[in-house]
Amino acid sequence: MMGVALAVPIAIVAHAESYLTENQATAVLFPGVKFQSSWVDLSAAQIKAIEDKSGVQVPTSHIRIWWGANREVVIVDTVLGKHELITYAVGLTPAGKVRGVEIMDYRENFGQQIRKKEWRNQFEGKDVNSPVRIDKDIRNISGATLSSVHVTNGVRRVIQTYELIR
Amino acid sequence: MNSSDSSLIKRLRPLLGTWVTVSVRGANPEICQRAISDAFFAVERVQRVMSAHDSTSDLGRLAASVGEVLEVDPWTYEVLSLSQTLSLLSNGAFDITIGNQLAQFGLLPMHEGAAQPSGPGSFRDIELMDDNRACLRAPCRLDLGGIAKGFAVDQATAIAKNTPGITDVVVNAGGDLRVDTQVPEPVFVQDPFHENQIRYFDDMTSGAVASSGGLDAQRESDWGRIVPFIEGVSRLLSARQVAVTVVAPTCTIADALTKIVAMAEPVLANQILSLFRARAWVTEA
Repeated sequence: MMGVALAVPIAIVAHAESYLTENQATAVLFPGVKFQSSWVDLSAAQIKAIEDKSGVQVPTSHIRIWWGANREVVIVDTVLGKHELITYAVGLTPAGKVRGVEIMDYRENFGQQIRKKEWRNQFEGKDVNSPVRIDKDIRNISGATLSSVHVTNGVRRVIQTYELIR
Repeated sequence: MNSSDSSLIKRLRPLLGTWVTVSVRGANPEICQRAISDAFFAVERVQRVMSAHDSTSDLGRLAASVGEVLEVDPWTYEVLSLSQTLSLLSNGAFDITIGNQLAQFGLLPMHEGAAQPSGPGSFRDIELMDDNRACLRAPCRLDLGGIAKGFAVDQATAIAKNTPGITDVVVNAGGDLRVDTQVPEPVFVQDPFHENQIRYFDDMTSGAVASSGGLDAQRESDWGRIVPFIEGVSRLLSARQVAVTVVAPTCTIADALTKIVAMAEPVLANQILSLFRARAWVTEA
């Protein structure tokens, strides 16, 4: 069933998935808490301090922050992975402890190649009666282990950012 | 079921060192979001108690207290019990005490500070007692690896599915996935040796699929590019360049059986597969 080389055209599929809006992200990270949005601009000195402490480069000085009624914080950030652009929200308690990390948008914009005919291949002669629904179901893939290290590094940077501006 | 009457909501979090997706269909968005949050709490609990990297996890505590009887999380106990059963069934090919070898091959970070346990420990040195108590009789480093990931997927699925008003649940942790739905879900498998080629596998309403090996699993080491299949008895890296996909009733079993199929004698592996009502697909590079 495997290893059959097929000379078929390659379709470039840009895949984007949206999970949560900013409002929804604050609601699932801190249920029932009212939030207000703001922007904070980091100074050059602050950026250097964050980079020194987190070991991660700061991509933008313009920071999106949501403040909760009891000083809970949700910071919205974006990281660039190998093939993907990921926007995510980090929920922090007033003491600066991570409550949770929620992905808001996950965009694979860099030419994910999927051989169209291969999509219709199947294991052990099973029939595919339903058309492949790429946008909706691409995540039900066994064996596709993508690294989450870019977001993990981003969270380290966000924690240090909060320490500076709290 | 009529999908126009219900909500389909999917969320994604970085957990267990990979991506965990929880998708649910249910009566309304609020019920769906709550079920997803509860499912992620279950994954976080597994991450906390079964981490191989963290000295404060149950695994870390057991390794640091050789000869002492410790109480562990009931979930850790459940996974340890299953892994012991699988070690016995596979004549030791499956063995969670290979953590030290994984670290030597650079597949697990060395514990900072603490002396590296180097004894000839095996699964026979793990003793399980009543009331969620366990003891490590010889120094060795435990790594539940994919079996803990599979267990997290199963727990997350069960918790979301048991939420009143939820009809369909799919949980996917780095390619270990579990389906419990009314509406059939198309499931795909990454071609293990051809990047970005994805194959349709089946439409599923219940069961689990896990895959191990292949290009995604290969790691750079001092020995070149290797696949982290370490045979439990010889403690050697598997010489075969294989990738294994297993379909089983639960994700815990599916993930564990990928290792057994890769490493145990084929006749024995087949017996174990049928014992757990599982099927396997093996791909050679």
